[in-house]
Amino acid sequence: MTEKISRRDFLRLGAAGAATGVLAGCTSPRRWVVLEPFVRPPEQQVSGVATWFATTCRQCPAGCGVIVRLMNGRAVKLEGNPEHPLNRGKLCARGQAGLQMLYHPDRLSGPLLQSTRGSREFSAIDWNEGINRLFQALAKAGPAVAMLGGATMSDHLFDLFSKLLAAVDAPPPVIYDLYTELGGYRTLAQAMGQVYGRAALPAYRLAEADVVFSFGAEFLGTWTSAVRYGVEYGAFRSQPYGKRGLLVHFEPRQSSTAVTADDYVAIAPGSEGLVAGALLRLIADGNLGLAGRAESARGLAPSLDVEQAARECGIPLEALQRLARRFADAEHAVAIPGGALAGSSNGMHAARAIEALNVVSGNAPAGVNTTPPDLGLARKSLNTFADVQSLIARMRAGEVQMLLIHSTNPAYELPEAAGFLEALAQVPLVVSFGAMVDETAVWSDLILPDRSYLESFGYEVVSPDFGSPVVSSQQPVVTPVFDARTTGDVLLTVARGIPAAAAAMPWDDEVDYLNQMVAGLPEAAYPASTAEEKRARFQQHGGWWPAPAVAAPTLRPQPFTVTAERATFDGNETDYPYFLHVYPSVLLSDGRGASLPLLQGVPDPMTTIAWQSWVELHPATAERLEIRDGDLLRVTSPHGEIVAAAYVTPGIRPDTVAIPAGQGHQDLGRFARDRGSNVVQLLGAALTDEGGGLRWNGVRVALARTGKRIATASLESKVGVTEGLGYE
Amino acid sequence: MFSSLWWRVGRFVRTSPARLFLLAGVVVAGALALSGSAAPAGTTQPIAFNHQVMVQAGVQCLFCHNDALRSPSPGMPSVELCMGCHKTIGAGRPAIKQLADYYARGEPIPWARVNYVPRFVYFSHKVHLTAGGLNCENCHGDVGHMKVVEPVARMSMGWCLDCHSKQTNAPQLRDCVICHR
Amino acid sequence: MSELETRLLDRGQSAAAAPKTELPSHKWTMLIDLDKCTGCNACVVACHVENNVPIRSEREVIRGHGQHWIRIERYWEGEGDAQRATFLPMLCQQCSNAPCEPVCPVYASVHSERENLNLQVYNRCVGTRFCGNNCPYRARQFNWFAPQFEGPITEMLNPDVTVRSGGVMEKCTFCVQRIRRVEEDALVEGRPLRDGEMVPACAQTCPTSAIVFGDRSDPQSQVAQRLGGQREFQVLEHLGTAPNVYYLKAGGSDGGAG
Repeated sequence: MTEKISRRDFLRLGAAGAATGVLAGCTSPRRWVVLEPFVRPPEQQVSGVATWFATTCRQCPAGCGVIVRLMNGRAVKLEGNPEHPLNRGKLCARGQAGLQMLYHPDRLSGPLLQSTRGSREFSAIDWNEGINRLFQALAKAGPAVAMLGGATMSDHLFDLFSKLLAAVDAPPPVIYDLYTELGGYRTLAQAMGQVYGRAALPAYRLAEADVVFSFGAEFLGTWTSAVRYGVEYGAFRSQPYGKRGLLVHFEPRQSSTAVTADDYVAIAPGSEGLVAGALLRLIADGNLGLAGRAESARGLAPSLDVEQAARECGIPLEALQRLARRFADAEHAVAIPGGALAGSSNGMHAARAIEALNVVSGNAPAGVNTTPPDLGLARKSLNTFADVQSLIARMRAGEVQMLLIHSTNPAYELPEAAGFLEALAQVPLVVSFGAMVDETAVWSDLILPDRSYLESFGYEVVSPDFGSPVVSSQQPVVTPVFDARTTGDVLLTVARGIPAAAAAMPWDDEVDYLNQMVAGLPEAAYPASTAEEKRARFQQHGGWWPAPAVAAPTLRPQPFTVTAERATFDGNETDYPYFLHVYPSVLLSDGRGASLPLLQGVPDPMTTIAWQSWVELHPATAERLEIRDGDLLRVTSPHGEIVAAAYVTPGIRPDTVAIPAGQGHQDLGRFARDRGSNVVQLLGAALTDEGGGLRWNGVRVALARTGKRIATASLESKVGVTEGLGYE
Repeated sequence: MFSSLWWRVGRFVRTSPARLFLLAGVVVAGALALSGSAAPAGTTQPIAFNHQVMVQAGVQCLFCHNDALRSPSPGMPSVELCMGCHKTIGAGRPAIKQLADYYARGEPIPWARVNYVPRFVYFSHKVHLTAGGLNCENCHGDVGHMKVVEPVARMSMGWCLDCHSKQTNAPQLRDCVICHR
Repeated sequence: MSELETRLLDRGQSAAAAPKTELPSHKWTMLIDLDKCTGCNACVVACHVENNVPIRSEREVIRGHGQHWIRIERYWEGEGDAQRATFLPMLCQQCSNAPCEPVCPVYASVHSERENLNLQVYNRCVGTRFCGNNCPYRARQFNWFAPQFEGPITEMLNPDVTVRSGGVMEKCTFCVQRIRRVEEDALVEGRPLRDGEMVPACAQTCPTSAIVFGDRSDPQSQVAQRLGGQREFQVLEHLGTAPNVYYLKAGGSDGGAG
């Protein structure tokens, strides 16, 4: 007998059958809801409740204090440490992205050996073998060891490296990276030394300033401590009784700092010092401003023809006069020299000319007008590009048997003309301590990956210091994610086999070292009686700083001379019609941020472009050369060429093109690789006139269309962007 | 993964529109199956743990689930906490030996979850036990009389709202944001 | 009726089960001082980390599928060489008359009477995108694909926030997980919320303190004190959406309290 099944019944049965299938598929919720308790719970761990640890941000050399939010042993958020005297609870975009440095999928686990340099074919070895190889090479090389480090290397590691090198009679570490070069750290510190007698990074207090003149200082983007300057700027804009400070910014390109200024002056590239000189001249000759200002300016103002200077700077004379009056009339006027001028041929002269304005207004920056207390701690001092050149010369001459590289990426950051890679070929053993395979690690033989800054100990003597010394503490906040080993411990292990080093470095491990260093610090702002308590509080509070007190200035300006002329540029005007303005990207900085998707995928504030690099050019330039957004341009300088996409913007002078640093990596992980182009390849390796800095702000370029286009990954208007992608 | 699933579903329906009904049935049944909380009765645990024995011995809920008053999560006792007592108490029994083995190996015990709310629901034990004035047994039943713990309520949204909507002095407890974020 | 339900019902009617503290409602309000915004993007990255907002690939950004709950919009003002850029941080304006709410066919976009927020209930959302279409601020972000967090990057996901799947609309929540956390803490401690206790991720990290957040219904709160000034405006206020995000025009100052 057959039963008639209607269509409706059939569907119902079908649904029931399928539903059973679904239920059967779900009978094992255990697959994804297994509860695994701790075997031994970490101390003070309450599941579902956050714990916080204080440490130091190492995304840039500033040394902001951060607190890390941990949920069940995982770091899930970074915030500024509200107690920290530098950043006062605030953090920048790069600092916020720090967790991806810790959890980056391309971090190395365990040491690697590369048999052929540049092959990218690595073989894993275990830590004992890695450390053994380092030790044997050190023992063999004797004094022919060299070390190249970056400014984000912890000060304790610098001390350990220095002690190890000193023990084998090798020259001290060379500390150099592109970030500090683009920020003009070394040149500005030298200029401060000439003006005030203490060569340190200046720190300008803006919170109570009436008028701030910024000479290309991108202090709200990347310069020295953008977070602290952000805090200062916020206070500067809303002062007591409704007072609002006035910001004037001089730069050839509208940076985010220029945009927030009340008065933006698009000066000719390389004319910052000339503007400052002309302002001094106008104050002196016009008898401008408050009592004593003109007199003080007369002692400093260079001899120049103001009309001609105004023409050269690209500012109408009346505007210059108005600005001079504004500066001289303001009770609390501050002038800030930026990084770009420090990379010009006349960097030191320009920095002195700008600092002379502060001498005239009587507002010396913090950090250089007082003698800091002796904390008994070692701290890094930055080297010049000239020092790097002499290291390269030693390498080329075969005087370096072994090169150690930490926290810097010279293969990416140095211009080709510096000849780093050729010289590297003469070094028998190159050891990289990078946490990831970067461009330099590709040209090394042995990689001993260091832990990320959120997994390691350390301290940093904060620079710039805004009037009182700060030692920021670094401590591990999570159990290590990868099998990396802290370089400090690696060095201490190696030192045990070298008698002189063992004597100079008697510590069991880096924690032992740090404990002894911290125990010697003077009284801090928080109470701590015993040595143990001192160490615990040092880590708990995120560092050491004295109770707030305004240090009375002890250093006075010394006699110095101001000269003012425009910087020189490589390349003649006919072959290379445009000035090249290089700037560190707000997100990727000098390129170290390029490995993090959080920084790659967030749009640049001025162009709203993410993931790409670009050439900014003026609409008039674009019209003349018939260039549209996204056209791939060949940018040629006397030193090299790159290809990058055009971005037409009114925010730049018609005679200038701007390219951000940061993209164009061949390595540094999956998110950075093969993306955009590296502007450093357009630079030469010439030095500035004085001080031994790299003259990176001194190149002219030519533009040519390649005939190809790319779609711009921008946030703003998406009209027509699908062109060139193969779909409409 | 999701996109390819959608694509397959789309193709499935397009090839024969009658299948849409079938699909709707699957979705409804699936939703019913997923909305509940209960693990199927008789879910086996890696160790035959008996709540009744513990409660009868005078152990309070909060002795082991000791985060319930201070955290959204009640806290699963660490293996170390179990061993605190069971190093001596009942050390010879097979289940305790199993526990000691986990501890010796330094392995967590992979307990099967018994009571469950979906991942997009945020439930706080702390608030319900303190400000809410509830006790453990209001939701978990009389665990002290269970040899094998089983859920007494299907922790669906309707069940939560049953109680939330009766709190006449706090009408905001019906707000979506209370549980979904 | 099950035994448990009976018992719960009994409790519900007895005074003992009633919440010990009144649950006040709030008028959460954000104030963004454009005179202090420097376009530094710290808020954007902080928001991504706090709220598990996925970073979309270059190809997706080119298609216009970039996903940010808060973004820095850059506008040009003026003509010719006098053109100057200005920044405007844009996020969900938490409208009191929200255009996104009435168009949702499944009530996934709903209004919270208690917190005065626009909510997106992810598990209800079926991805019609009507709400995003109707939002004049382009504040709503659609997950065209399931988010990808590679390798150990999953470890940094915030467990307090749902990871949205593909096909779901999402948007700024005023960090509702933080709101709930401080409210629960206050409830348990039996005290009212303090001004400044609730800080969303963007405001917490903002170096210049351009973003101020608080409860407008508390007249002593910082936002309530600063509202009503000369520089105040709301974006597209003529549409009548009654946003809860207020902006202060650049070029002026409220000044400190002295």
